[in-house]
Amino acid sequence: MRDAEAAVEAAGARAVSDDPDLRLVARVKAGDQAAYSSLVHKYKGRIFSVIYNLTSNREDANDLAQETFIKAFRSLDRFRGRSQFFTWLYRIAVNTTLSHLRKNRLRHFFNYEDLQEETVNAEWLEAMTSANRSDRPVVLRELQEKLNEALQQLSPKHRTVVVLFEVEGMSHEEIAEVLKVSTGTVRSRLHYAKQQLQSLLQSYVR
Amino acid sequence: MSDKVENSPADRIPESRPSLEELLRLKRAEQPDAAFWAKFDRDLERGIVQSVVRRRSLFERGFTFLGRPAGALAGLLLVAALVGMLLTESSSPLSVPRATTGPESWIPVAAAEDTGAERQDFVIEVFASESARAGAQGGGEEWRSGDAGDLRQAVYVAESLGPDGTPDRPGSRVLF
Repeated sequence: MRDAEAAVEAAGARAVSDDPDLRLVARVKAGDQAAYSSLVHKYKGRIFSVIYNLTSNREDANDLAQETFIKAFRSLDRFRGRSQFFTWLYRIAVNTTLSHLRKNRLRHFFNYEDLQEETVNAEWLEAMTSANRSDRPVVLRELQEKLNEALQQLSPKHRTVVVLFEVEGMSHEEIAEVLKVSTGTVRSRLHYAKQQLQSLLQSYVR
Repeated sequence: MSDKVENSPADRIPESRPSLEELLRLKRAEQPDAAFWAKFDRDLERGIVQSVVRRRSLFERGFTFLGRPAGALAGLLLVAALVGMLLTESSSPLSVPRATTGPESWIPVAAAEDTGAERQDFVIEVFASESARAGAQGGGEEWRSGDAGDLRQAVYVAESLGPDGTPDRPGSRVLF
């Protein structure tokens, strides 16, 4: 029994020495709060991106990213290193955002019929595909807006999977760990979400 | 001519459009600028400090206070006062020895003798000088170590409070 505990401790110590994030976490736990700045600096872009792509609102994304890092800082004592730090951080970010979306459901409501009608008039999409167009940035921005609107049509669960997989480039396994669901559920949600998006953006994508 | 070509059906073939995956990957480029991140860092730093301050409960503050020499002395005196009162209740009234630095730190407390008033729970408060209070408020939650010598803390123990809860009743006496 003692050997087993020692082995676990040794494995934990090895993991800490191997993983730069866990080394930083250990330093924060030891009272070095500056180490937390390193973790924030490393992940703030990705965390902001996830939240922004889930909310499609820059101000909300700012507030929720702040909240995520504060929550993580306050909960760091409870982080045991069983999962990777970034997975744990993503979980806080996603849960915080989904909770926010539940409370503010109406705020992000889009009229489905309006969106469908607009997708019919998609002449600017053809313009986007021709190179050297001076209005290309404008067209791209419009395209992004349409994509954001389409993403908002998805349920938060489906949107989360699409954002984590397609935008953040996470694997099915990593997403399953963040959301605490099976990889089968992740694949299923992803498949359904992409079908929905394809349908919503049929005039814009091939 | 060129307009005709751009608007021709050939330009609208599905292959000329991005795939859904390509479109989604465009979102990776949606990142704020440096000015945004500078403000973000400042706000986050302030938010973390505020959350740490909020977490420090009154108990923690009291514990920190008792960890300092002046606080420890106050704690000891509090214990002594409580023991004194218990002894007073179990036997004849005792005179509690005066202690600490001088008359300015003497605080009147309600009498330990049973005056017949309705009994209520003990009320215990820890006081400090105004300068120490100002330091605690201005600096957040900490009792600054520089103020330790300036503290004129006393332990205020009241027993058998009247119905209005005030300890200044006839029979009050100086504990220390």
